[in-house]
Amino acid sequence: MHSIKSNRGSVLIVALLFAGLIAISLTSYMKLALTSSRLANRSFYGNAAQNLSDTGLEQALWSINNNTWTGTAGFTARSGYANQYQGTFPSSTTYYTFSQGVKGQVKVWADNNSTTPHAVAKAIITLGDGTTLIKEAEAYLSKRSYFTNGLVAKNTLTFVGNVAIDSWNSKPAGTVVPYSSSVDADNGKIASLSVQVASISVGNADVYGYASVGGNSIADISVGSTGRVGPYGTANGVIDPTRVTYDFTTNFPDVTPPTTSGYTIAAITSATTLPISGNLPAADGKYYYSVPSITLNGHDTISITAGADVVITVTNTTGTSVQASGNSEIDIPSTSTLAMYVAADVSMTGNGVVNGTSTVPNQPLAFQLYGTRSATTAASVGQQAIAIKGNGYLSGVVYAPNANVDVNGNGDTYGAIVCNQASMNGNGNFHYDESLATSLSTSAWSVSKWRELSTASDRNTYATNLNF
Amino acid sequence: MAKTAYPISSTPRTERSRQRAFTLVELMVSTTLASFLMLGVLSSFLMMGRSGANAQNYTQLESKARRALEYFSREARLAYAITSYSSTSVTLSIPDTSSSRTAFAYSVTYTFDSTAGTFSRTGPPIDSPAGTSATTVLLTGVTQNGSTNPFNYYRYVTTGYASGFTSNTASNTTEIKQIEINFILKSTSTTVTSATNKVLSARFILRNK
Repeated sequence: MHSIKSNRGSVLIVALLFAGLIAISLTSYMKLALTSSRLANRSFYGNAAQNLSDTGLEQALWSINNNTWTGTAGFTARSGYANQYQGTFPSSTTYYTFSQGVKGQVKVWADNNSTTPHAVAKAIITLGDGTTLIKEAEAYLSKRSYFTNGLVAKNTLTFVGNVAIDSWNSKPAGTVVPYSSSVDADNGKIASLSVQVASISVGNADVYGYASVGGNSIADISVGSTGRVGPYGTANGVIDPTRVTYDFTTNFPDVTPPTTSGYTIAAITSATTLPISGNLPAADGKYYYSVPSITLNGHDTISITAGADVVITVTNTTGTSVQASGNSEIDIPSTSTLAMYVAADVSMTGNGVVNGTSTVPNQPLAFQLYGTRSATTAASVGQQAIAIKGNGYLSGVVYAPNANVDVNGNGDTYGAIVCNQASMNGNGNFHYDESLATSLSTSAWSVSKWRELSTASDRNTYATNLNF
Repeated sequence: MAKTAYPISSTPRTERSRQRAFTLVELMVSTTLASFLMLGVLSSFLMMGRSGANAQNYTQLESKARRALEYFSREARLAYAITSYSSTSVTLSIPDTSSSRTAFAYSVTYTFDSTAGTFSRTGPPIDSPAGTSATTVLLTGVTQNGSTNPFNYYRYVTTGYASGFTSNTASNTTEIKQIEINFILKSTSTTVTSATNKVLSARFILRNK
């Protein structure tokens, strides 16, 4: 009897052992699946945290560009620190919501200094089980260039004559390099925001580079039988489709004259040397002048003294405030620069602006012409007119977003032009200076450096700034 | 009358004997049934064990792949330049902590080795850029995904993104803006079938380039 009972018990024990082993296996299996699911979940929301930190940096970028911090912008000034702001988005009491009870917030600290604005964002994602994921990133900002394209017009861009458009880099490695056939490249860039058909009329010009149009059709560019758009070697009458960008858009911010105080002088109507003897430069080393108008005739010459950087603001806002005719000219020697801010019309014929020697142009940066008529004024009184019809070359940059620019000469043009409408007449070629894409900036800030803060030391650097 | 010394049984001797033993047929039937039962239990147990081991292999593969992609993506997004590129290797220049986009901190190379079956990183420790450069194998059991290159590049040109390369190496290096990784990760085991995981990353944008 005892033996039988013992046998029956052992079966039960064996069954229990098997059940136990199966239970352990099942538990391990489920735990493994759960761990795998949690890892996948964290990985997924890790990406969400990355996006959230970028959202925070975007908030800071908007506020820096608009110089708007409080109110709906969501920031508050950081107590005890000048030009520093802190903000929690969407707000300190609300969250961005995800599925399955997941929520997120991003804290942003921004340093709105005038040279290199800086922002750091800390994104915190709280998962459904209460655990958190944190991603931090920082961005340094720099100003955008006015001249990422060579010749840009809001409206139409017209080439008349057998001109060629190409490019070179006037300062590839710290040394100024004049344009020549040994350094030219097929990166000339022309663009129009207009969506109308044939917004860029190439005619018989040779565009060795790229063309961008606001529309979405190659019909927005018209080419004559001997014109072309493309790399070197493009056949007559051909537009290389790989060199055309559609839906082109960009901002043309109005430009205003500098506010730096300088000298107010009478209208210039005869030969003049600038800076005027005895005048002192401003703190930035430049000589600032305000003049009602400039009218040059005959052999009148405005000579910029060697080594001087001169800024002229022409204050008349109607009529033609800058006029040069006959054999008059503005001379800029190789070590000098001239920047002119003009709201009224400009007509420069005669010898025009001699930026360099008679045969070797200075770097285009040395002559800058800004059309300061605002978009609002242009809408009521019409576009500013800028006509440059010199006998020689033109080396310079023209930024006049509310002006119709007419370049009409037989000499080449070096530099870049941004305007409302452009007409390139004559037989002079256009050489875009690629160095301008990074050397002259607008008032708009963009991200120049982005960095994820992933190490403990990186995060500790900004721990105090983000502790709010 | 004296009572007998033997206990009085209510059951005849022959019936008791029948209860204490099993017939051969009974034994065979019960053994067969028990065998089937044990076989079922053991099979289930083994199947669960093998599935568990397989699932663990997949989990480990995914975990390792995520870690490798996390390393690569972090440095690819941060890179400001590419100093060399090929279908199996890429070398990135990483900026320092200053505001300068191009202030060099260190160089890092990611390599796919089809012979050794490894995906490795050569550079200072990712959390200590000032440390000594060394090669770390991030993944083993790596094979090429068919004819698709392990490293794929996308160049940013005026007309948008372009894959493939021009004949100008310097121009390609300048224009590369996105990198994508694509390979097969395999984990072999003596007890279970091999686990394979196709790793296809997002296109990582070189944000500082």
